[in-house]
Amino acid sequence: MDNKNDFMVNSAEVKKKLSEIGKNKRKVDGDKIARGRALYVGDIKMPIDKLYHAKIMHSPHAHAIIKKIDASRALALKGVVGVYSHENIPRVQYTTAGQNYPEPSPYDTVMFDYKVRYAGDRVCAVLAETPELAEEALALIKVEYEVLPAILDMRESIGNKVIIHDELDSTGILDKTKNIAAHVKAEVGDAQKAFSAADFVFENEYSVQYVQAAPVEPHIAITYFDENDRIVMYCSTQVPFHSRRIVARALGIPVQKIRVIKPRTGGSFGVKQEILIEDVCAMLTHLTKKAVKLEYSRKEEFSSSRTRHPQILTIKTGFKKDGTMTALSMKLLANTGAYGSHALTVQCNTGSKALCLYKAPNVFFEATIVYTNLPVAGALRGYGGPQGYFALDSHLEECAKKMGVDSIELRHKNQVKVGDELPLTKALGEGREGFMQTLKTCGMQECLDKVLKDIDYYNKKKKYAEENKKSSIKRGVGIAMTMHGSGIPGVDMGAASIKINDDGSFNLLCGATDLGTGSDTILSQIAAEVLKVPTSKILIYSSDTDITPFDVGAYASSTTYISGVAIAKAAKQCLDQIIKVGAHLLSEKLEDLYCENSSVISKKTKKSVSYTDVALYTLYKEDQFQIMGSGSHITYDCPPPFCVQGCEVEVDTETGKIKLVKFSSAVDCGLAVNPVMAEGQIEGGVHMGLGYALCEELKFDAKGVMTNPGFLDYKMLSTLDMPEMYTHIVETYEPSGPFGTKSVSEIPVDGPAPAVANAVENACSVRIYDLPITSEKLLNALLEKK
Amino acid sequence: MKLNLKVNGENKVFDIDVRDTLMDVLRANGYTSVKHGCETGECGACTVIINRKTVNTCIYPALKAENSDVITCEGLEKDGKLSILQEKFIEMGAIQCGYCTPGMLLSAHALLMKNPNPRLEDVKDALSGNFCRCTGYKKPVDAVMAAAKEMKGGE
Amino acid sequence: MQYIRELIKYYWPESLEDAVKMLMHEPCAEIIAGGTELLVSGKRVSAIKSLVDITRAELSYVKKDKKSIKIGSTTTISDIQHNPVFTDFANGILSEAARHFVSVQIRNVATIGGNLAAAMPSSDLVPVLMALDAKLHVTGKEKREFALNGFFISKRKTVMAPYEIIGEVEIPLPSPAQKTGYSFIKFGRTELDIAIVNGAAAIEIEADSTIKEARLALGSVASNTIRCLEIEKELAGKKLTKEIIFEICEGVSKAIDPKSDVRASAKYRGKLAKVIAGRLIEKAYKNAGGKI
Repeated sequence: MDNKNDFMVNSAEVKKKLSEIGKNKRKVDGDKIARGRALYVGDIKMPIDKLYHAKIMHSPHAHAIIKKIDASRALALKGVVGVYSHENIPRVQYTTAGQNYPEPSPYDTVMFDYKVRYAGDRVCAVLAETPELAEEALALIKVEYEVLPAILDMRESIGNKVIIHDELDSTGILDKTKNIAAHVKAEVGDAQKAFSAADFVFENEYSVQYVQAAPVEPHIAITYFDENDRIVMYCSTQVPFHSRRIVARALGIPVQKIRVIKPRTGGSFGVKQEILIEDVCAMLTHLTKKAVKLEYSRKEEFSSSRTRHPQILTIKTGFKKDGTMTALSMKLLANTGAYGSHALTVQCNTGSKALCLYKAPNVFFEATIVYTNLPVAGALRGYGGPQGYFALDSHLEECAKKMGVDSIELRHKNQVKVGDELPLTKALGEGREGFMQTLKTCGMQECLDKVLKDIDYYNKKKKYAEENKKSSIKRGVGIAMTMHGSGIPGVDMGAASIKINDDGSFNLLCGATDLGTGSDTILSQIAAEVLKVPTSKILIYSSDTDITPFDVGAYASSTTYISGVAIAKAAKQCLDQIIKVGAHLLSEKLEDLYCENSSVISKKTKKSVSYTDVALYTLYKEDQFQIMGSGSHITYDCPPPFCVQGCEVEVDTETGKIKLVKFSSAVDCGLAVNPVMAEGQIEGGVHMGLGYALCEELKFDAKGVMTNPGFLDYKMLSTLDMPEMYTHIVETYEPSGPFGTKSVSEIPVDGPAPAVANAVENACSVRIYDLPITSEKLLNALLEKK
Repeated sequence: MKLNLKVNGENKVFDIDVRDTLMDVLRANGYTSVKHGCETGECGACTVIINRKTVNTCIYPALKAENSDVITCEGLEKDGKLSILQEKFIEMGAIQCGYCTPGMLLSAHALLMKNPNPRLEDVKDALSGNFCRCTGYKKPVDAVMAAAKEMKGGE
Repeated sequence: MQYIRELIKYYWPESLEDAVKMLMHEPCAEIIAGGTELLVSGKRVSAIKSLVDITRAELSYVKKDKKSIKIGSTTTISDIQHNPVFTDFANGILSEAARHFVSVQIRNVATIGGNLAAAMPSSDLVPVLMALDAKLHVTGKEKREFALNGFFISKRKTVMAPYEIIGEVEIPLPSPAQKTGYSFIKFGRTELDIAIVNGAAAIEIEADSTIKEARLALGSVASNTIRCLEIEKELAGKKLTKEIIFEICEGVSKAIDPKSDVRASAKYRGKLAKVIAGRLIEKAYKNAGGKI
């Protein structure tokens, strides 16, 4: 085995010899969670005397100028510390998007502006001794607005006489006068020409809605000054390092004056890849020197947070008579809401994740992202993938029907295979040019086999085609095939450091952010495997900007794939040092030794020395030094995971009601470091994708005010609505990932919507082109068909 | 004013404000497993067992719990040993971010106290008021069924 | 969070009469049973200074005798779901309605009286109680009795006077000789969502399957739950076929006045109401022993 980086080598044979990886190791924080002792931001007792509470006033208007803020009655209340608005907060433009610097999102947001751009936008904030007092104070503040006309439909943004970002100091907006936040175009070959020459050309328009991530824990931050006069910020975030940098900018203070700690997160899914409330919380501490807590209510979590980008997509495909795809075009209009957070990059991802699955020689992609006076879209699990695949996969199913061919064969025949280049990956990076990807692993066929079997696809299709003729309750099956990515090539970086303790345990410090995704466990397993110790010997501490090395944070499905290698590198450095000391203690040559189960062992004599012996020797006895290692990782590879999802539905054609009967997912995630946790990621993603397909939708009234900002009215599937679920992990061995891993956390959200749409169409011959597929929409379409 | 009740088997007297919800009181007195997820009794993150029944404490006036027998997640273990239900949740991957876990464990516990032999529909019903965005519910439901089986002495 | 900001006193009356007295004499007093409606009602609670908790006033009971089933007003939805009295009673429609109620946690504290007093047009229990011809015993300055039909004026408004509290719900038992069948349907975006359309039916048939009497209640399609009296008249005396049911249900549109909301449009509710009504009638008829 090549000692240099054997953690990058894997195969079925190698996997058999692994002791920590590929096993369902006990979740490192599972015990304390189950005991009710896990401490989230709101649970921690801070080293402060008194905690003050901040509340934000949100705009009731979609678009307005703040003419006057009369806070006199609020300030007169005993226990109110201050009221903060554009009148007394310095004006600094930044982006709230938690992205790599320089952020590809426009700097179009100030902490408190003189203008509000959506119903829910910030107007001002109050700081008071209790949350109830802060609420009372908010109610006493009188704000005078000059209400402006609002743009509430993305199709009306360009060329509208209303300009949403007419301020002079914002930067990075592509065309303020046309309300265009960003635009991107990418081309391979000549799609226009290829369409003219094709035997079949099909074109359809699809649209997708505003949805919410709805993590169970709303946004929360606590900030205070420590004894070194630095701001300490505890927050529920995916991006502690980006938060530190962006908050420093917003406050106008050096980065070294802030420490950001993410203790635990109660779910994020992208909505916490944002500096959403941290800036206000930190600013209030900065100004008042007091400890401040800012916690969103559930209503605020819906109406003033971040959402998924709604899009209108036009897909056009050209085929030869034999079903070979010769041209593929995707044009989309996206709504980024009032601010441009993640505007360019989500839509770039829509193109690259969806279109790269197919190897049409001529591809055209264009996305225009516009502002509206509606809630801000940002990062949400899947990051453009769910939108793109709803359109693309539904479209391909339809093409197959029109051409009279099997839709699965049509897809599979045109999909990329191992060895293929993905040309669009070069044209579409994260706001800059990307890096050409060549497929090294692809488990799509095996995924397909499993899912087809679970839902008995071909047999059921035949059976139901007959049975449906005689019943108003119709059944159908549908498939979706998707591909995603692992990290952002050339951009994402993770780092880690490890040191040994007296008893052969190790402290692992890494910036990588566990959102409940389980990365603390996964990364401990990786470190343990490289160090040849049980996972229980690794003590992981993550996401503290003072103590842990840098990591971009948890997004883009990067943690296992990229941060994992950094951890492995750090562990390998430690291992090399341990073996060297072992060689000295055993008086043997390096090449005659190996490590196993916390010991350095001689191949020849079988004599061994434990890691404890090595630690005690190096820490206390002779030639003392601290055995420790560090590592960073960045890669230009972005190996895609693959996924097939299949669905069986039952449609009541008299009411339009869709019942989910069965749902199967198979994901090629490379190697699964912890299989049960990988399954959990898949099942959770499916839940989100099914909600996207059937019932989740943020709604607005004629004035742009959200009408369903709560769990009662914004409906998500409960235990009683979920179908019978099957989950499979298909393993391939990706040479660029630690122990062969790719990623798993986002791809399961990409496929449920098209799988359901295809199953519904199979059941009742009606296709719905805009999500969600509600019973009302379906019944209307069924009646229209009659 | 004072609130008298039993929490996890111990008699307690808490100093409260008449306007407090039970969630306010429990969290202020160290039972931080009771979580804030919403303010309208819709997500179940604040679930607690009162007199053997699960309740959303965020909309339960503290005074209503006078003389009641309350169980929080902290009370599920015995002498530092995790219950079978807690173990199953950990083993079977039913925990991800963990924010909904205390509420779910209590909903499951309340079910098993009343019905040690639940059908799948009973478990789904019992957990239907505990919103989870991480797991898709499959593993938590499976974990409760497995716990019930093991508690009955099945293999 | 403290929602009822002006609250000063919390009372535990030991009887319904004591509760009424407290309502009348304590400053800004409001009764609370489960509290699940009250604590989320926002502005409505801002003036409350006294809460009168009636859940320890001996109003939680289910009593069955030869004539009727009497349910105390603070009986929880959960008690109704699990009480063996209701498992088979009226083809189980009352426990089925209870089973679809929001969530277990809410069912454990929400009460039948509270649900009725809240007067929401989407209530799942109200159509069932209407189909069962339930009546309400109310105590205020005096004791009064109300049939459910006509109890609701509009959304959140009942005919009860201030200081009146629902004490008991009484469901008359059909005589053993009667052949009556019942049905309940709730249609929502998801299993536990507030209904888009819900309803219940009770149909009594003669020996030859002719309908003797029918009661059809529909919820969520008007300002409050309604009895479809015209439809009921048309059903009387008929032997049902699918065609007859379909024809009769065309008349549902005249009985309802649906609104649009985040769940569904008025138009969709209108279309659904006909289908749901038809299914309710068919199911109740079949449960009575009628053959289609």
